[in-house]
Amino acid sequence: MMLIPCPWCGDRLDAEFTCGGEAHIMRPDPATASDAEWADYLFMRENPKGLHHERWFHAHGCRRWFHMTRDTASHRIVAVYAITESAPEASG
Amino acid sequence: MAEAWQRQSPLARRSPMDDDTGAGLAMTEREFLAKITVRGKVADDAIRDALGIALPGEPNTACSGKDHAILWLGPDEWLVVGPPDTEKELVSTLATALPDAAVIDVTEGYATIRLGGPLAREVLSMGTPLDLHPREFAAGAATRTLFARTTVILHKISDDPVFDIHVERSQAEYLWTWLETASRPYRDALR
Amino acid sequence: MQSWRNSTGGIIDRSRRLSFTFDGRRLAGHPGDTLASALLANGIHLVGRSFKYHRPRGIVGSGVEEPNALVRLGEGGAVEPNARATTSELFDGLVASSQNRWPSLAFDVGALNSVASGLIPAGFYYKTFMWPAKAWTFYERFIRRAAGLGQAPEEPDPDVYEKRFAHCDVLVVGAGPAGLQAARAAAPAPAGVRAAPAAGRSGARVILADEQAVPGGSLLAEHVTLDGVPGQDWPESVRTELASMTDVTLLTRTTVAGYYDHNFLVAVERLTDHLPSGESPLPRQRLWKIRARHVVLATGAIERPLVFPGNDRPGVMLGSAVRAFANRWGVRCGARAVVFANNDSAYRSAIDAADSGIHVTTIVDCRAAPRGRLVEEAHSRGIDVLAGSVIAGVEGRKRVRGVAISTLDGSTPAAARKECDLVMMSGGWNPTVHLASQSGTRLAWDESLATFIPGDAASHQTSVGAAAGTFGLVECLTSGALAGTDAAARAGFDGEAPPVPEVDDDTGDGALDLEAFWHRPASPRDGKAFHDLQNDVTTADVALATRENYVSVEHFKRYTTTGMGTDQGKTSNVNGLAILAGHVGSSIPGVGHTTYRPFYTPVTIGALAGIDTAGELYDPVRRTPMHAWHAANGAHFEDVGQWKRPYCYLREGESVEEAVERETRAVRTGVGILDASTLGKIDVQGKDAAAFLDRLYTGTFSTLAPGRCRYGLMCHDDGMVFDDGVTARIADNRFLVSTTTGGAATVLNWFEEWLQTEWWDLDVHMTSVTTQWAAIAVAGPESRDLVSGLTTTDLSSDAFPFMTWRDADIAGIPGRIFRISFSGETGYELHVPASYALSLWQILMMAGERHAITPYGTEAMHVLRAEKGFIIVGQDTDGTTTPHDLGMSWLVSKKKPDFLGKRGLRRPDTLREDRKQLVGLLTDDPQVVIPEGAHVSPEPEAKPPVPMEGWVSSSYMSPNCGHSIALALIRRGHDRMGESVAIPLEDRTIRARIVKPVFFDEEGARLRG
Repeated sequence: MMLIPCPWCGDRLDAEFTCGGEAHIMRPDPATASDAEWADYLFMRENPKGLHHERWFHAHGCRRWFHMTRDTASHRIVAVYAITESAPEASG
Repeated sequence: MAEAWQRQSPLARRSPMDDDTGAGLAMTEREFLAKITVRGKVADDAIRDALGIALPGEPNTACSGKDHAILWLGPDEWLVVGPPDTEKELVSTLATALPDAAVIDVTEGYATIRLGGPLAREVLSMGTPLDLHPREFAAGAATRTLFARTTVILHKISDDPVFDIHVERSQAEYLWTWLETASRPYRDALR
Repeated sequence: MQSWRNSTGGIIDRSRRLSFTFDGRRLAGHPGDTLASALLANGIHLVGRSFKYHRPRGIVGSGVEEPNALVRLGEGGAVEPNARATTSELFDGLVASSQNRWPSLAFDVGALNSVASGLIPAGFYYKTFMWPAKAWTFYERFIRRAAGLGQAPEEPDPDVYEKRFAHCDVLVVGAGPAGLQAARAAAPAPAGVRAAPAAGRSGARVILADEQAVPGGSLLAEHVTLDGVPGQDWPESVRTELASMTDVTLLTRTTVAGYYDHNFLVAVERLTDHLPSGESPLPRQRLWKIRARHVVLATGAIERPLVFPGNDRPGVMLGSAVRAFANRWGVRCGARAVVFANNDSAYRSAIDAADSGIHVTTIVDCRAAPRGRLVEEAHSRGIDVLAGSVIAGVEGRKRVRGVAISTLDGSTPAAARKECDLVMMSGGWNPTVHLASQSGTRLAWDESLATFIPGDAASHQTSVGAAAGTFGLVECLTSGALAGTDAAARAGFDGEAPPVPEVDDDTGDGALDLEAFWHRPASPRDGKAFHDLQNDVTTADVALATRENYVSVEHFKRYTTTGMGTDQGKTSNVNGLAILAGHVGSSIPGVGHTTYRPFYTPVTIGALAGIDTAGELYDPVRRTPMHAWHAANGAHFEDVGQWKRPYCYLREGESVEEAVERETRAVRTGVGILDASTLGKIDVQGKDAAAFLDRLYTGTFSTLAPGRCRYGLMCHDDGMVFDDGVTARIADNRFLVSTTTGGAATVLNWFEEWLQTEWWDLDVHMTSVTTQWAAIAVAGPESRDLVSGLTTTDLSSDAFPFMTWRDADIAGIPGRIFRISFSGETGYELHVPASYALSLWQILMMAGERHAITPYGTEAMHVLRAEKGFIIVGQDTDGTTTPHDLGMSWLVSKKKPDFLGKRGLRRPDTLREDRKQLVGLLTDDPQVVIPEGAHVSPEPEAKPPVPMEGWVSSSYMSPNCGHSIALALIRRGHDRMGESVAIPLEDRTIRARIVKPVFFDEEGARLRG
């Protein structure tokens, strides 16, 4: 039901997108990462109530990945930014 | 060996739908249109030189010339549509003009349905969440979008309105049946 | 005889008669009637039995608020249960029947529940039937029969439904006075009219939706004039005005039922429910999915019943409903009425009822000193006003016969008894805040109205008119216009509000002067006092819930069932909360309220499904270019994802098993062809294409020479296999990746995800070419002979070895030949552009005649690959299977510094030695085929709980081996070759031996030959 502002295509129904979950999870260096670090990267997620930085994919549109900051309780969308960018300060 | 083969278009088994009253819906397959996906870095000049039309730089738009149309599908993805049976030369023209891009023939991978008539927008609104009001989706608009339970590339050809819908070949009959079914009550009402 | 119908008044067409039946009885009404108004015109009040106690129930309201008069409409598959008689439009031939009664409405066996009602208090079901647990199945049959609302239809629904999306700048919900003004204000200029005279209408796209057949809302039930026009006619003039405007959509018979995120609303338009069946080709209902920039909620208000003993008896009605039946439908709801009031609006109902010919004897007013113009007007009509009084009890079972009246404080119980056949109750008004609440808007308590009104809006929305607690007509018209202008402005369109029509002063300012009255504690002898009529919940149930500490409002709601069902608390919520607050010694805002949830009124499943209901449209059917040939040649199809694939081709008189066996043998002895077009194909190109694939697969593709193919496994970063396939290098910078049929889209998305989110520096592009190329697998000892006849390409093993590919001309068609095999036989996969594929298939069938060519389906393919021990991802893996578990360590590069899954494969869990590993199983009895999915146990005679060591993933009868074969994932399987295991089933235990997962041509001589 959400209206998601794709940075390329503009506002589209959420059914056109898939959510890639929590954003800004760094893939550790596999050569040096400990088992615990690797497990954290694979399995552990924040799941907050409130603002959440997420990755979204416009699967049925431009097929681009992008970042979106969304309030998980109200579905308010606070920011949309490029997949190559880090989280905006203000909305953190 | 003699040519024993025949080409069969994706909707060869479906009969076109005429709009006898002029108040309804016309639906027909556009057979064997050349369709080429272009991905990567594309110089506007190179396209202009090759096809004589501009490269659409804006999302949700297309540029059309006499023979060709180029649809914006993503920031590094376009669909070039050309006349039937021209895909081979189109691929080589584009590959030569765009050395840094991937040029992929998808002529056979997509079917194209042309939908026109006063009911066209209404019937499409049953399948796509896009806003099709002429203010928002004017002639020349094009985008990939969700339609019913599949993905289509929707291109508004004119404000009459006429739309071209490109859909993956394997789902062409599904989409055709869907459009036929969705519009049936209104076509019946015009009888 | 419509003996309760006045000869004048209302907006019905008395010149036409409509015939209908209720419980088989033939009755008549007029166009403009609802089923309820027509029943009342015929003197019928008793229309149903209540949910729990099966008490006789009558019509209470006049619209969507009706809790009692739920009837069954129609017959056969088109039947609709739980339809409100008050919102069902009458048409000629309408068939309606009452519900919840057996054998008849007048004599209902279930009413014994009422006699035994002391035994079924709130929470009864939870308490009584919990123990012993097994007995529930026994109780359930009786409970299901006795409780519940209506009956679901048992035949398929013959009607057609439709769904559509809509977009607007302003959505106005409700076409009462406020909503009509809002729509006028937000709407663009009428066609052909310049902006000036139309007072600067904005140009916004507007949708106005109203649940009734005609716009007007409360105006339809009142006697007022607007600009000199009767209030009942004014809405029609606005409708005409709006109809002339572009981009204004007026939807009548349309209930906005759900309000979701980001101003997405769902509305149901009833297109043909008001017509005799077959009269219109249009869908029965249309589900609108509306995205609005701004929403104006002009949803009105619902009158609140009062809670007193016997308040559910037929003939006890809302005052506003009696007024509406009189004014709008010219129907008298009784001969002799008593009014029970706590506010001034009751007097308006009383006055209009009296003017319609009902003898209103008394107004029982709980207020100490009601005063004002309305009170005087009531007096002037000879109506007694008993101040400081309440109704203490009701006489009559199937119809009210009289009421007992006492003082508010109870000091003079039963001070008076009044005979009457109609009780009009008016307990104040509840703004219809359902949609606002659904959207997330919090509700605020308004002490003077003693109700909840919308608080700060949670989205771009404005509540206006009675929905916002504004009851004066002039105020509604004014604030509606302002809300419309404001809404359009917020959507980016400037405009001016339309003029507010001149209203005669007969209507007052809408002030209620209300004194809250919730209920007066009474003894059980006085009878039940209901605050929720639909769910049969009484004040005693609230007391019980409180005693048992169900005092949190959410617990209270579920324990007592207050506000549930189709009603969603329209008349019951505030009364229920007030009584709860009284018991727990808190205030109403103190106990709070539950959140309203969609839908506002029930939505048929048909409307939600639209045309996507059955067969082709239920889910997209994907077909290969050869589909029609398969269908015409005996194909027995199976679904693989959305694809239809031939499972086998049945010959005359042949069983499925026989066909599979025949096809399986044919491939090993002659030549077979398989439609492999469904396998995913991805074109990967760019100067980093090889490096990119090296990171995605466990194997290495950068070392693959153009013209060659390599099989690869793909893992998630946890090291678990998730897809596999053969990849061909087309050119230095170009690959053709193949995926499983079901995995095609997932794999492409997986590639895009890694490229875009992690490795965006790589120069590579992916495009799906799954449907661009059709693929035909030609397999078997005679395959080379067959294909050679169709191409000039040298197919000899030296020139064209296993795992290579060539561009080729195949029967004149430009395509590619891949020397790959999933059957273990010499085989070729022929790829041609899709439109040529049917022709090529037919050419192969003709050319193959001398080889007795056999088309084979997916099941023969499965048997053949299982004979060879080739896995199917998703069948022989389950998301916890590593390449090592599969015995495919040779596919995992040791040289590459990194690839997806490399680090995951070194996690302690993936290094465990007791992981489940892929092995073969040979049954002791070679003719026994183990069911797939069966568990494997080490001990044949183990007692439960039987230790489970793994499970059977693939299992077939192999005609080529002459015995059954199976693949299984078994703990430490690789170290247990030769060991015996048991497969315990429900009725027997199968014994088998662990073997290597290859059953046929282990050296691969046939493959490479």
